[in-house]
Amino acid sequence: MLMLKVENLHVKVADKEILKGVDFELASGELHVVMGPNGSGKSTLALTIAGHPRYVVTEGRILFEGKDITYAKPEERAKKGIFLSFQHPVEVEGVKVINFLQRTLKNLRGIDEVEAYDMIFKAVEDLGFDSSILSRELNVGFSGGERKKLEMLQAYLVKPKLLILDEPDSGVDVDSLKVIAGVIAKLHSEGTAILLITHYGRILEYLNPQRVHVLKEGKLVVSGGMELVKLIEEKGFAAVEENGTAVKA
Amino acid sequence: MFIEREALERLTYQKYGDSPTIKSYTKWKLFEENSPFKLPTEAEAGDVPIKGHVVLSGSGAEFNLPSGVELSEGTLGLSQPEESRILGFHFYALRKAYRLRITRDLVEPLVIVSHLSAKAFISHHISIEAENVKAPIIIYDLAKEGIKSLAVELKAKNADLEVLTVGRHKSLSHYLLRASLGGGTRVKAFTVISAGKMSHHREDYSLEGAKSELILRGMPIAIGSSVDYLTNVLQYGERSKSETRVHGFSYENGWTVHRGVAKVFESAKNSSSGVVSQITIMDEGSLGVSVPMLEVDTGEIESAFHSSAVRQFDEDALFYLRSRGLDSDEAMSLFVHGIGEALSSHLERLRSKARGNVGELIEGLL
Amino acid sequence: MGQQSRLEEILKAGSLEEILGTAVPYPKEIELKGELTRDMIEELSRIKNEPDWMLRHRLKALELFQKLPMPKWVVGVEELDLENLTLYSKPEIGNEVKDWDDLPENIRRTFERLNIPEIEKKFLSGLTAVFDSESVYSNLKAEFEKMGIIMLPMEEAVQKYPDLVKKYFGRVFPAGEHKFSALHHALWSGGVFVYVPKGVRIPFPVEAFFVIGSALEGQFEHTLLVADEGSYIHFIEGCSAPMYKGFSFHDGMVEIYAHKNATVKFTTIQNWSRNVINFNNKRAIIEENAYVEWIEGSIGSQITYTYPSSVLKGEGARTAQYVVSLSNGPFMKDTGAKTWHLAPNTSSKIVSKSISANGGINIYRGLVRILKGARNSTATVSCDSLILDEESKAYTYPHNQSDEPTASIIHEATTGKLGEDKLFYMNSRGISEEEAKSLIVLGFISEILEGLPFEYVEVLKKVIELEFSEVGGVG
Repeated sequence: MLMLKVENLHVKVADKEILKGVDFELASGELHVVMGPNGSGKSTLALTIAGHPRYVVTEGRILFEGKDITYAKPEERAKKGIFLSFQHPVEVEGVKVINFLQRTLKNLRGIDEVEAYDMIFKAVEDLGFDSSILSRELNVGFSGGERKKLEMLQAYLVKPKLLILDEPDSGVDVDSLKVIAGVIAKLHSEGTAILLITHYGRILEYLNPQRVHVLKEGKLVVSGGMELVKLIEEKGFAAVEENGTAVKA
Repeated sequence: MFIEREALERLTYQKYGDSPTIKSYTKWKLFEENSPFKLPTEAEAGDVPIKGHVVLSGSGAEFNLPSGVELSEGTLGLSQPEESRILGFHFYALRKAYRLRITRDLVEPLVIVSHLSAKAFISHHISIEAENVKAPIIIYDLAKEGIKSLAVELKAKNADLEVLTVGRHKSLSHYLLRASLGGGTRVKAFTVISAGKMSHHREDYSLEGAKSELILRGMPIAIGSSVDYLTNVLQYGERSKSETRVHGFSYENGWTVHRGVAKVFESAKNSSSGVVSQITIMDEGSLGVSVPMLEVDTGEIESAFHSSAVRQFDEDALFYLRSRGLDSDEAMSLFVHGIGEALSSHLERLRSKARGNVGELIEGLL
Repeated sequence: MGQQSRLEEILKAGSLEEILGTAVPYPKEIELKGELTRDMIEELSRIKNEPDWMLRHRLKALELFQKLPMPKWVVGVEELDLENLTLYSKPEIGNEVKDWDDLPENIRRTFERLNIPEIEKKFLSGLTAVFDSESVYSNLKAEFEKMGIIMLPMEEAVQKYPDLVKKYFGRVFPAGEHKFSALHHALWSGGVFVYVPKGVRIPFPVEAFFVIGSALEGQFEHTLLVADEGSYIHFIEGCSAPMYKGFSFHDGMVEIYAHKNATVKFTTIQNWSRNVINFNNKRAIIEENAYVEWIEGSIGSQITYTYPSSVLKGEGARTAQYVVSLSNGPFMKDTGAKTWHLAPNTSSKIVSKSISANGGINIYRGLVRILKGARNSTATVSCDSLILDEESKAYTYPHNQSDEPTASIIHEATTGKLGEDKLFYMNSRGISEEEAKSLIVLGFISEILEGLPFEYVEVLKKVIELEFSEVGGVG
């Protein structure tokens, strides 16, 4: 079943067009990777699918499980099963992580607080995180790596239908990277469809993507397999355009 | 009567304008139209929803003091009728001023309730003295109808105090706190206000003794209403410390103003002063003003800073919460709750009481 | 608890309002000596040979001056001798200084230490009659003419380009704003008119006094700068070397109009002698996507009031105000910036750095006002004060007001002291206290120095060094 279908997506932010006609498809249970140089529109793609109000779709549409969600509210998309793991998770003062996680589980999986509480503690143990994180305020004073790990903890608990990861590997040390990759692999093996956006591709050493797309200046210029990643690592993004194979996934 | 009517005639609300573009952040006109010359200055005690040790409702006064708190009459002289027109009105309408002296450590908070639910101009005046004691104090400032003017004077020496002030206003409200902190005194204060038609709420702290400390946090919230929240901190004492943090909200054509002066006098050597002032405008049509002023009279200071921000909800923070399933209103509510939590974290005894009150206030409003 | 608290003391003596937020106690009103009459203004206009519309403009301003109340916040001016003021406006009467030897000793010495070329020395000391017009700079004038740039003394512009001048004069900063702007509009004399045509970009900073000479010397000089669509100009007035002034009250004005897509950078550096009360009226109106940058360096004078203001009128308009104020000695600087956001997507930035030493007082007054409809506008303000000793003071009064929920105003201010550790570190490296102070001050203002042309930075650096050395500053 087609989990996600993006058709001719044009997106602008504050009068500037960032995505200039993006098309691709993601079948359920697949792991796709999106790579591209800075400014190519990778985050824009992730945030638009998640429904950030600042990103305005001027043309095209987004279909999730066959339904048009192009103009749906962010909370509706979340409830339908789309989960975005942010590149720069914001601080929310005064809101304790444990309470936030309980609330998220209630909203997205209908699990009540008491049951959620146990789930959360178990998940923290499973992933080898320090449980002290639960009594801290949401992302307040967290290092980049800590924020990314908390995003993964959330994904792990929510088990979404579609997980979008916006550069989960940037600013993260080697050990944390392994843990994060572990969570992604586990979710993938359990059936979550994954759209992974990465700049470096290091994380792909631990994963098995079905497809790799390259985004440049707001357009998907080429799609292929892991060999593309190798090409980029050796010759940079410039090399990819020249190869230009089929764009449609 | 503490001041004669004739003396009142020449008093003005303010001597100087509040800013280059705005003469006055408080709509004094509303007070003038409902002054003690126009409204009765006596009123029946009403139905007070909260129990307290001191309950002033309308013109009535009921006391149920815990041991360790003595009652007498009079003021501490920290506020004078000739200061301004509103204080003139306050003293003109005032019948009795009460004085409380805390003579030993209090475990349970001392609860003071000031309430008005009648169309009248009523003044309440409470002075508190605390020397060598540790005490939590809660002040409920409830203005349902008419104009209520509440003045609280506080003189503390070598005391450790927590002060929680909860303002719930529907109509017009005038509040003045004047606190004098002697040597070794530590005050942790938290104020949350749900504004009425016009709430003028002012807190003046004078850190006079060496090593006196003040941690002041405030949450003025105006939903379809207006609040002018002033925090003035004057530091005289050597090595005194003050830290003020205010986060206000305005919603549904609300008008929220936070301003004040933090002044470090020459005698306050090696002191530090910090003010963080933030107003979040929650929707179109609401207004926010933040004016924290800083006056430093000597280079011999530890540090002095202030920051001010007026903006709407952090779009990204809101989106983050919505992407986790909360709708817009739920996200805003969680956000405001979070601020309440963060701003009350400095309280020990009164922390949960503070949070409970913030929760109740927000519940009804958002 | 018998001891009276300070609060009680203050209240018994007066009120808290006087202590809070007013920086210095309000003085009694300025006494106006003599009279300013219609006849005087008419004579002034006749001497200048002005067209009728300018005379009417002056007379209207005179009326306003007489009507408007004395502003309560002007300190240091006990009395204003109005008749004397008109004298200064007349062109023949220049400065008192006719000879190099007439200059105060310390000013002469300062020039020597600053190593300023002979010709500049003469100019700066007011011996402008000696200034040779057949200099290097006349070539510049020829260049300008070719590009269609108009730059000439204000009085001449009124006569040569009346329609152009009339379109803007007094429209950016009208006479009725306050008593001293009215006074200015009645008595203005000198200053420069600049017009940069559409699309013309002047690639080098234009140092005003070299082009205009004595016209900028005035007490009531009026500078009007109009940048037409897409043009670019960096205009520098004043100079960091100490300037001796014969008059004691200065009430100047700068009006800037930046049309669509134009860029204007306006730099003022003032290091006037200590007998001057310096009052400035500066404002820019900025149209769509245009940018105006004010760089203001205030070193001298006894008291300076200056608040470069920008009105962001068109969508996408931007502005920045960089203000450095140094009060070294029993002097005062009351400086700041004002910005009004009237249109969407406008942005403003204010950076204020003030230094107080030896009993100096620095006051920052800022106003950022975002009006409803100025969607997605942003304003950032950072004002830092450095107080070098216990007698000096710093006050900051930021007024930030927003009626537009999608806009944001962020303001940060720090007030700091010299820092014993910094001083000690420098001492331990053989750097004397005075040198250390000037190094720290220069570091403190480095962000603003970056926007200035190299030669200016050099002289400014030397000036600051001198301020803190044994010479102890100028005047």
